[in-house]
Amino acid sequence: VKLTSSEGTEFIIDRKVAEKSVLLKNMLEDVGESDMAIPLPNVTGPILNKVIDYCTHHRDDPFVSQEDDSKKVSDDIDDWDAEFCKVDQGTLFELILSANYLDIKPLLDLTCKTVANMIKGKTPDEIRKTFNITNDFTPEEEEHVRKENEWCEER
Amino acid sequence: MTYLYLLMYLIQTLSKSINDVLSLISKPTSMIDIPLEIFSYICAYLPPDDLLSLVLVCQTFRRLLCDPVSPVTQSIWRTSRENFLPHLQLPPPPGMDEKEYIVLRQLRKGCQFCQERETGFVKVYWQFRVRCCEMCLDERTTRRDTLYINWCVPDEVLSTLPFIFRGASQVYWTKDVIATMHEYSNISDDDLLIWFDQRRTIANNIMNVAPDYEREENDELQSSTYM
Repeated sequence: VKLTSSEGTEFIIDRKVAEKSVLLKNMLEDVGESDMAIPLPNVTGPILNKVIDYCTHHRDDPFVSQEDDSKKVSDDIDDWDAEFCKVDQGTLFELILSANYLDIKPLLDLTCKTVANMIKGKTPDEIRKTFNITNDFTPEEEEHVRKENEWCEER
Repeated sequence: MTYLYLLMYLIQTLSKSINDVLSLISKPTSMIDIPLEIFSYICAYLPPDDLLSLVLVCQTFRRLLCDPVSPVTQSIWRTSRENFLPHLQLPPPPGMDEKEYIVLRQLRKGCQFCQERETGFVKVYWQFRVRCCEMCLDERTTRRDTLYINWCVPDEVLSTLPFIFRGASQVYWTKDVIATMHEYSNISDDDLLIWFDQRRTIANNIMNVAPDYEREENDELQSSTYM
């Protein structure tokens, strides 16, 4: 299967690897075998490269159904996946968007868990530092929001 | 064949949510710009305490997490509550949204008035929508006979207000009595019957469901997760 990234770089991958993406799987089923490259104008080359790495490593994993999200735990990431997610934040968020667009549920879960773990147990200030977010509350607003969070307004 | 792919691609893209399409135009590389859909996926792994921290990070997160009428906002808090708060599985009582409900039930935060934290001394009084200690409760409530005899609050007005028992006597939230008396004195005779009716229904609802919420709360107080 041939894929083309947004800059026009061509990637050739096994059909089995491509089928980790529900979007590509459905496309391939609809059009059958073809030599034509599938254009992916939303995914850049470096990101597509990462996505293919992931799909290749997990090519033999059983398919998890979309509805199977009964347990929302984020501490079940294995070593390979953890290493895979050690990228800068821009890349991580682009991976999330690509996983969402290409409909690769396990990759979407993994990347979202990774971001959740970057938030867990942190104070608002630590979260701002982690994600480089500016505090745009006035001190009065911040105090008001804090009170709302505690339910301690006068009653 | 190329056209077919192009067509397929167009259909796929169009069928995605508007949020998605927008996100493709301006590639977000920061937590702040991610589409709501993805924000809610991430939040699904976070306990309510972390969501409360996010609320305090910036205006954007606050807007996403504090919208009482947005179904997405409500589902983020509901998912977090159902996953992480085993002793808070009932849906919010009538008139409360998910976030308010979770925030009110934070027993370990102590009395909302004096910050008293003594276990067993502080509880949620669902009838009054407060989390407080017994001292603050007594300060802010008034007994029915006092209201009736000294304040001349008519019986029918009291019938529109939720109450609890302290010992053998019914007590009412004083500020609610004052507010209700104010409304009562300003209402026209024509509207009076409807006013009574509506208020009584609301009060009855609150009174009827309170025991269920108390039961869940007692389960939490007795379980080790709270200690």
